Amino acid sequence: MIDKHFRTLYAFAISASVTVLFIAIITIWADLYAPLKDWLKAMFTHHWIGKSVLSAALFLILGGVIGLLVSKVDENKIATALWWLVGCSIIATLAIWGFYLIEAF
Amino acid sequence: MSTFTELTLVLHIVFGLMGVMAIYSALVVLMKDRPAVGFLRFMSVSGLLLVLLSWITGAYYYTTYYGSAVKPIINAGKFPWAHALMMEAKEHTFLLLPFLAAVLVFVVLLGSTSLLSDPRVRRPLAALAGVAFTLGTIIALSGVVVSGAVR
Repeated sequence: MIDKHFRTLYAFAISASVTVLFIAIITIWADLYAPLKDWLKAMFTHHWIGKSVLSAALFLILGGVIGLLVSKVDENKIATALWWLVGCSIIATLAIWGFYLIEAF
Repeated sequence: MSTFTELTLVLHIVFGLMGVMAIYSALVVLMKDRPAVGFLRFMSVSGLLLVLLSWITGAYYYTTYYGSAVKPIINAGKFPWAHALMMEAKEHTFLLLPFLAAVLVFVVLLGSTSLLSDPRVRRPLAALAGVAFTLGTIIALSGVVVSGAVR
């Protein structure tokens, strides 16, 4: 069965997977590379606000673009996208905690 | 600390805990073969809204007060790792939560009852709610450690 909303569900699940990985990457990168953290502060008043705004923008824009590009999404593709999001979230969490564990000690 | 800043801190915690509880409720419903779709939708939407409110109130407290008033006390105390590890990891892991909660809401609102009962979709959706709940719990416990390190 192909539902009219399936493309949206699939697109935003994939977009969220990319976004959570982006959060981990920009978090680690900004801590290792001071000019990036300084740019985030200069652009958004605080580096954490900058990461928040950029992540939300990436999620919405990428979700919209993927939704326009994909076709023929079924239950299996949605399930796969959701599993990808679960996996990417676990990887992003471990990367963030692992990085700060190394940094702290 | 001003009364308003105190209020934002309290609201950040309350909204966050209520959001985690709502996501847990959605997880429990998704673990059933035939989920109660109305309750699932209510809890998922509540979870997203509460997480967003916690995000906004936490952002205000963190960017206007924590860095200048709390962080120096922790760093000068016996447990500097409470900031260097727990707070840093907590504040960045938190950023994942709204997106996980948003996808949960998209699926339960746009998906039909038959889609939500389909085990191919219901299982990864339950796993997603489980990850969001676990992250929320870790974030809440990290907050307890950070608060304890200030005293």
